[in-house]
Amino acid sequence: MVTHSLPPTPGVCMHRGHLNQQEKNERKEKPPHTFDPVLLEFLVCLLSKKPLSYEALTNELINEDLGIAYSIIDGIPNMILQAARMTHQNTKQEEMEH
Amino acid sequence: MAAPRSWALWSFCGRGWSRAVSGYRVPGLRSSWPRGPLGARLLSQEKEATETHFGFETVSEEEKGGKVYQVFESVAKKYDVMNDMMSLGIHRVWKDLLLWKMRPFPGTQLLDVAGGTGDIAFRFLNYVQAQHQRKQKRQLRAQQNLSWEEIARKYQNEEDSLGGSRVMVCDINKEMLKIGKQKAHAQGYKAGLAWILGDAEELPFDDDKFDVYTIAFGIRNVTHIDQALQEAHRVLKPGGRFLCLEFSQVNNPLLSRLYDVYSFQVIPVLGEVIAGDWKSYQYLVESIRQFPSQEEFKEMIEDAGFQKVTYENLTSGIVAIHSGFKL
Repeated sequence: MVTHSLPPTPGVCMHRGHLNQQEKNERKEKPPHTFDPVLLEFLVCLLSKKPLSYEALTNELINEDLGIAYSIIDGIPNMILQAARMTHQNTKQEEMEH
Repeated sequence: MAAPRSWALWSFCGRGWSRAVSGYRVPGLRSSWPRGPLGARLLSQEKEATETHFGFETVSEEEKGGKVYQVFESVAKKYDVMNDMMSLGIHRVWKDLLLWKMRPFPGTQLLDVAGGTGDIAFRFLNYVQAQHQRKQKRQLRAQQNLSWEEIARKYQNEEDSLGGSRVMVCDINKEMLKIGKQKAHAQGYKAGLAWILGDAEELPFDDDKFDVYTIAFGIRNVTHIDQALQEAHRVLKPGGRFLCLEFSQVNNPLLSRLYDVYSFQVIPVLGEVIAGDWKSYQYLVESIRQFPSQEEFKEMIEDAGFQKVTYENLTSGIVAIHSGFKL
């Protein structure tokens, strides 16, 4: 059974509600999906080659200057340019919603 | 530029077209391209003229990436099993040999491209950890009388067991990375390991970052091998090493015949029986035949700026390890 118990990260807690037996087994099989801050030292924006910042709310890596956001799925940053989104349009949408 | 004939032919075609087209605007074409600056770069490679190979098929360069992605998406789950079956377990020896050639020391920053399921990354971590343990043993033997502080220090966090070594696994395929991450979790690899979804032709790293760059059985699937080599050169630190483990040309004629029979008659069948996927394995064996020979690939590596480029044949040339340095 699960011998080592990782402290639940906020992201993980939000996904799983009460841990029943099945979910406990699931948790053992799935690797933790936390983002490793070490990556911030290495990863750069594909266009500007500048370092990125991590945005915890949307779980993305953001290049503020150019307004590009790279998503992080299952703890793996998606550094493909075509998959990245432009943040400027989205912030406008958010402002309209509020 | 020393490049093999077929390469020179299509890179010439690409450049010839772009010169003809540069003055002429093609609005229709733009809409089908990805938005952003990448679209501007693609303008120099006209779809009609630049074709490449996908196994023995001819496809456009744009298509190749997608088709390769589909192949690996479909083989991901059975990738390791199939590797064992197809190579009769010998792929493990090849990968071990790559690590032994690398001789990483604790503190090495490794970038493993197309490293999907993590074989090279895990071997790297094992190697570095074993080295670190050997070093600690030597230290222990040298000083039998440790102070209490030194003993206490030994009980600290596991980051020390790697001595600062790190491996980044970069792959373009999400499925392969997922499998790799699951394996890492199952086998207990945590420290010093990071996973990134990225393109070998456009690495999301700054210049001069890594000590070693490896690409094992991945470079033949890249659409623009020269771009991947240039990126490799860019992200390596001066003094860094490029290592490529890839299927190559067999130098023994008898073995070559047997290898062909095995590749084309046995492997796709195995693929169908074990993974339920004939076509992907057909692509795999065809792509091996399309890959340049040891000498040609060596020249391509030299063209990218690497020096002291050498190669070593394994198993009579079925596989070769190419090595180059950024000096």
